Amino acid sequence: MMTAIPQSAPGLGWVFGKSFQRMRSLMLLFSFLFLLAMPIALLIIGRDNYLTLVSSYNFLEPAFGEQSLNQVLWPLHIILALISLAAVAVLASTGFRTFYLQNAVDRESSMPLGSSRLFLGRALALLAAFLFIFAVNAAATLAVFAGWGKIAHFLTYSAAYLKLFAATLELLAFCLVFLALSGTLFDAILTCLGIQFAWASSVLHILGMTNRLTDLETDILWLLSPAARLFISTFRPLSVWQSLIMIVFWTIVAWFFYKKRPAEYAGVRNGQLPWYPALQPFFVLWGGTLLGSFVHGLFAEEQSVLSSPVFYMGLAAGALLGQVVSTVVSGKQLRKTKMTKEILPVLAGLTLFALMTGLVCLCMAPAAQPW
Amino acid sequence: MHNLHAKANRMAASLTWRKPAALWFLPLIFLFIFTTLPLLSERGLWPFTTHFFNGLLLMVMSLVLVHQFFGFVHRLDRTDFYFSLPSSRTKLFAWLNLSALAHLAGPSLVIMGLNTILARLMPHTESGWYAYTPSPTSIWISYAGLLIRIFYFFFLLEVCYLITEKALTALGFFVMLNIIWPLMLFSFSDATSQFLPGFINPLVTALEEPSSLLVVIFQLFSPAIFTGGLAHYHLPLALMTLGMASLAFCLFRARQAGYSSGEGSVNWPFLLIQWMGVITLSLLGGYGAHYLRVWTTDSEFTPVNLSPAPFLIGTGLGFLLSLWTFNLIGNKGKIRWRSMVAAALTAALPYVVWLCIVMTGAGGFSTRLPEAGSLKRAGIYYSGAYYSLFSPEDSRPFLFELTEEEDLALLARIYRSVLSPDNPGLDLPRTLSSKGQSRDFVRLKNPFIPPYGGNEIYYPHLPETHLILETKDGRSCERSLTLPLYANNPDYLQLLRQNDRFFMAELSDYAAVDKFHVTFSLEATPCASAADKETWIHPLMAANEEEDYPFESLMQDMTRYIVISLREQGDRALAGLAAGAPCLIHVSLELPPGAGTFEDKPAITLPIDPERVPGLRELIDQALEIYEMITMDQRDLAEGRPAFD
Repeated sequence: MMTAIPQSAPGLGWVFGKSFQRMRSLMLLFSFLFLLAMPIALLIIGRDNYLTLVSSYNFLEPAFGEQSLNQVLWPLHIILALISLAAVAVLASTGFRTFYLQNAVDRESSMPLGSSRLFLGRALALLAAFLFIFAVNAAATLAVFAGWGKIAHFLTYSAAYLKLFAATLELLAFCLVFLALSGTLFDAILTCLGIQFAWASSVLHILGMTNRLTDLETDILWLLSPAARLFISTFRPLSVWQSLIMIVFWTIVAWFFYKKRPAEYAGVRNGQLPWYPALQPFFVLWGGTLLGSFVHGLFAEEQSVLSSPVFYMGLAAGALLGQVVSTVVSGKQLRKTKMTKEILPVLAGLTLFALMTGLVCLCMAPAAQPW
Repeated sequence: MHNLHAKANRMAASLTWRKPAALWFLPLIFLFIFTTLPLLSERGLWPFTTHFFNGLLLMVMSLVLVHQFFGFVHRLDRTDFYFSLPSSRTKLFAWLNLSALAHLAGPSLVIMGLNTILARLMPHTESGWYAYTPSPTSIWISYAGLLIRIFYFFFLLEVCYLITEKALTALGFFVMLNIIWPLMLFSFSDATSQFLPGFINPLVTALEEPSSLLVVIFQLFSPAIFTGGLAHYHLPLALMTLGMASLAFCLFRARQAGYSSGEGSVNWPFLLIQWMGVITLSLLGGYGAHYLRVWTTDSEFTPVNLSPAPFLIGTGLGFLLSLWTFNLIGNKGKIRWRSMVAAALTAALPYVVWLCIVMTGAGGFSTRLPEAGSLKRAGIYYSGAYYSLFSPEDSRPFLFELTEEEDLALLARIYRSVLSPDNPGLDLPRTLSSKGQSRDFVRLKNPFIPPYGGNEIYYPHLPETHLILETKDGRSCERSLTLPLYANNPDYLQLLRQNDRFFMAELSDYAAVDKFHVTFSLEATPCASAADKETWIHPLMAANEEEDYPFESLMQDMTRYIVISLREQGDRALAGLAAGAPCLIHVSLELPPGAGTFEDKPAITLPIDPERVPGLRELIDQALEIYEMITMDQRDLAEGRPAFD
């Protein structure tokens, strides 16, 4: 008589364990890079050199104080931000790598597991990896400062470090949205990068041409470009609460898309997925503002941008070009029969331009002098 | 049968030409925007933007087109289809490449043609500006050179596709090769010259005038990096392109449908990259740690007491990190210890040998310089000869030779003073800062307070001197050293006094202004005609009195033009020219306090003869034009009119 061996169904812990195991080697590698960039670098600099440099005058002294940094920690912090950026791209890609392979997706779909658990397991594994990296580095840096008898320096710096951690998680959550939406890993990275560049560049142009660009303290500028927040936090005060809200927001959005994602998306280029045209107005806006400003600079530099016909001609041409390029790059073929569908994102992008320019003019006061 | 073959070939050919229209119109639009629009805006930017944007676009399009035309080799179903076409591999290869290269060069050729026609049709509104723009012929020659380099880029990428099993691996291999190869060449040659003061960094000197061999080495694995340069080496680059195309052809013929570089044989593309990457990143780790220590040590000059420990720690960390990273890449995210040990040994052995040689001073490489008595002749290479806009053909580096015994004795005393036991740059073990320490040792012996400066002590920049020394027994050696060639070195002053040609050679150098202070005065000779005096000699003399006029700068420029034109002529030629010149320029070196009396000042008289010195007439005309403008402005101001109206 056969006796059934009771087997517990894989749960959240199983997904977490599998995902964590997949990124363990890379997590250790990034931990090592973090250690190189902060505690090992401090040890190479040496206590005496560190104290001499910190006590010497620097013209950025007030800014350093405001951001909880000093002459030595400021460049090291920038390097940490760069490594964090790379870590988000690499670890998130590794965590979601199987998501784009049809056979792996089929296997996951056939498991007795809900998509919410799959998403949560992966997201928690990523969170654990980043917690590990940041915690190990913080402990080692604390040990160095404690050895030098300067724990107060570490305590002051910890505010900037926490902000960097929050900004990293915000970027990670933002990336999760595109990882959940995209059909291939290449497209996920490309779209995530493209949107951030498109948004920051378009908003900068609109603020510039409406004479509203006073400094970089406009939060709207960094709304869809969280990668910039990693570095902005070293120049200007950044609210941790704002980052936390954005982390929750992007995670919920990513979870929503993950749940709704059909298994057939795996391996399909973004251009062939139904949601892609909804993103294209951002690329239209980018192309339009870039080409509009370029031809305005060439042919009508003396005129004000918004009253220059050359700018609008460039805007229209750039909008069309932005649409065509974003379509071609995303793996979709241009077909004559569907040209009407291609026009809609162009119109939406131009409407977005008008709307944003109008809102900026209405809601923001002009700069006293151009930035 | 023959008809069937012909039909099959036609079918294969038509298949290779049927590609998305976007491959044509997107590059056309891009180039139109960035090269034709600036041309239409009449800003005269076309000659300057065309090379950059064509290069950028052609590189991006090479990546796209290689993937479009040869990406099929990474897909089994598509490879089966292409390789089962009733056409020979040779013809298939030819058609694929012909079509790809037509797609690559076609759009940019169309825009180049359009721009050339437009440039001819458009009126040149800013004539002064257009005088400096290159002619259409030279733009087309430069474009042809660019195409050759881009074709090499294309074929190397094609080879990468043909030796790998995935597009991502091919691109990764290509990108790494382009980055790591030049990094390895430059970092090792630079590090060797830093460890061994006197060692001539072969790549830095080669970049001034690279030989064909070095062009081949640079271009070999890094066409993406050197596409912007190497503009005058069409023949070796064309031969390399042909060679790379032949290699691609052989690989294409041999390629099997289910090819996988990692199965059953050694994955040599990855091993090559790993080896180059590990030794380069180890060295870069050493650089990082060493300079982190140096830059954070509070010292105006290179610290004297430097330990090699940071460099060695950095090297170890770089070695560990690079091995780890490559092992993860090679084993798809997992560590494999066996392959790591093999990779570590193959990279560590040559690296340790190199490190032992440079840290121990390479058997006295920096200190083994000939004694004065054994010198037969000595050459000084002037690579920084002043660039003269009006006679560019004369503005080239030159070698100046000393052969007289008394001159050689002085030169030997100058370079042997660097070999003093006090020089920390010659201490063992050597570090990456040995060269910097040796340079600062020489500089700090020359405290110098400029007369126009404040109270702060200013140490003038001393360029390295490239020496070529030949001994009486036939041996020769080349060294590049920072030498005490400054105004309070009596040996240097004596050499300037006793050898006019050496004085002239020193004046030709761009860095001469920073080395010593020179005074100039003009004198009209009896040979000067009344017209000469009226048109340029007297106005130039008057300019000396004008407070706002940069007289000293003009004199420096004129001196350089004269000495460069006379550099290959003897003392007699100089005397002859001076005797027949309408004007003379007296050049004398200012001595710092305590270095000598007024009579000791090294001085030379040079002929100003605009008819015999190339470019001098244009320089004088330009100088007088500026003088005229300055005096006119002052007259306008005196009369209450706005200047430059």
